[in-house]
Amino acid sequence: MERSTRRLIPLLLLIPTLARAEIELDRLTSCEELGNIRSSLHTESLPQQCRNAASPLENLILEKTGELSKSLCILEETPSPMLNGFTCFVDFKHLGHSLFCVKPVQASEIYNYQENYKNQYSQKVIDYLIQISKCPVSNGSATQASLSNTPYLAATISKFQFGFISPLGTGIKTSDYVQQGYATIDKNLNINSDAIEYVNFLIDGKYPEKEKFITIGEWMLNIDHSEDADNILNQEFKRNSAPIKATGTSYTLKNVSTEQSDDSKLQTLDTLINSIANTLKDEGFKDKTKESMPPGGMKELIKRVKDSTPPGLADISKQKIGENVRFLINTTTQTCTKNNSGAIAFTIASIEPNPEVSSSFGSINLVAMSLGKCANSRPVQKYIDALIKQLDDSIKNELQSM
Amino acid sequence: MDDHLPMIKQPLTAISLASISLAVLAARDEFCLYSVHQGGDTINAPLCSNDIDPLRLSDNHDVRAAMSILGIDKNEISFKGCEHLSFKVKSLEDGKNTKFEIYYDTTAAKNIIAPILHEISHINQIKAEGSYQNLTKSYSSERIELGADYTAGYIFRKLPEKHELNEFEQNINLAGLYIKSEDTHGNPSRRDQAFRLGVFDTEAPSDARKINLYFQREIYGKIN
Repeated sequence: MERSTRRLIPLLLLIPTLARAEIELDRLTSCEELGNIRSSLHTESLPQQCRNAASPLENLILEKTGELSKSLCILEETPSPMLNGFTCFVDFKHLGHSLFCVKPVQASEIYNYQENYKNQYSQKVIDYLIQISKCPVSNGSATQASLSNTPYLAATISKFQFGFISPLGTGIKTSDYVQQGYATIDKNLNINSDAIEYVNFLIDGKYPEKEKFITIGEWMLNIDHSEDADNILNQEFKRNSAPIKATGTSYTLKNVSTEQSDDSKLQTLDTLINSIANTLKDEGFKDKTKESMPPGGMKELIKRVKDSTPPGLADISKQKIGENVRFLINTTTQTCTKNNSGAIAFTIASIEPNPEVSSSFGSINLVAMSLGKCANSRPVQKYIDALIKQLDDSIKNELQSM
Repeated sequence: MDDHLPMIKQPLTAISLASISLAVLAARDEFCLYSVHQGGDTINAPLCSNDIDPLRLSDNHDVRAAMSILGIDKNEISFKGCEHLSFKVKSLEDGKNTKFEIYYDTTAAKNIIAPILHEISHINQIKAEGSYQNLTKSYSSERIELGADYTAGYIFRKLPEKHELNEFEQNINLAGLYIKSEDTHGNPSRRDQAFRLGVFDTEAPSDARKINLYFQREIYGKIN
């Protein structure tokens, strides 16, 4: 690299910080460029010269992304002139192929937009969305983005404020989209920036599977044994050389037949949690909930979980973590537990019903953990799988009798 | 069309409406909330011709289809159009029967159907709740507005003649605000979500009178 170029680098890095923040209503109408980026992401042919994080914003994103940051590449150059001034992160491993480009902006501009939306922006936004929809690469149904559309990398550091989203491809349901969004950053993060603008491409994205409910009397129950979350958790354990293997299950409840008060719904969840705990006790598990609580008890535990939730994800769910959390452990009945060399533990937690949805009765989430010597034991995993099936049945039986 | 909507400083309340020759029926309640009144420096008083329904909405096939989808008799609704008039519904009591009058802005021209469906959805809400008073007592302004957006989406899906989803949605969206106010419609994203949920929700009840209750109980809480 030329010496003169090297000397320019610190200045170049400052550009995104100094860039004047304003609401740009033209990013998603660069139709040809959008089409080119989409094609490059599809074929993984995007030029990928990766560089290290250089700005506080880039470092913050990597720090908050944890395990997933290992598959992120910060592009040496932005893939298109429409993204000049942005830092772009590319990821070909998780959730399809994604390109997340971000730059600091001023929160005051975002608030100004929101306060003056009616007079200054509403018509421009309508025109913008109609223009975006006319791009050949769009499926023609661009719309306002919602909180739940927040890209993961944005959610780790910021709170969504508003944005625009254009599905790419043809037909109502496409697996690709591009999104432009604005989000505010907590001042306590101290990164000399209080907001971001982002442009995010998601290519070959997967739709979450629709929950399949089975009917038990007047209850509807979804049992989810999917391994996606387990895999991420287990990779994290592996990365930290922790001898733990986790197996998660969740039970989601609905009831469209009866109107029940919030208190009554919480009682139902408690009954089911107690039923699970009792089944485990019958299997030789000891309830160590009290002993495993931090000073400050359950409230402190829930606060810690909340504090560790990325700011952009905290507002998505209107449902709270239930206060009936249980921790049960078995240190005796399996061979791998001999001489305190291993154990099997279950945590039982719940998500309270959505207070604004009548049929919502919340969910119960179980995580079975094999620890120490038990973590790599096939018979133990078989035992846990069988035990979870038994718990599935005990939930069904409990609902049947309600 | 929305991009011709006027800038009007003061709400088009009594002053503006006074210039309209109202029907003989006594006006009891007016609302909606899909309004074009907003800040600005000028007041454009409604320009009304002698023709009460200049865009012939009472004969429009989409409007007729919407009424049929919601089980509303065409004789229950009359239309009144003027330039720069706020979109709104009035319920009018004529002895035992309640009738409705929908006011519309004639400058909205070809993009008028979306906001009209939103207004017809309000009529469906009133009929389901028994009266305008019951409706406003039961639900906040935002819930009522988003419920009407959802119902408009429900109607959109069932209209025999297909329209562009995107443009239709944007025509409804104009009154969305980020700042909370007494007659808030919900922010633009929430309005879009409500409309699209109405378009794509296949679990909505087939009985049109139950749609608002279903929305309030099951859908509103899922909008973020």
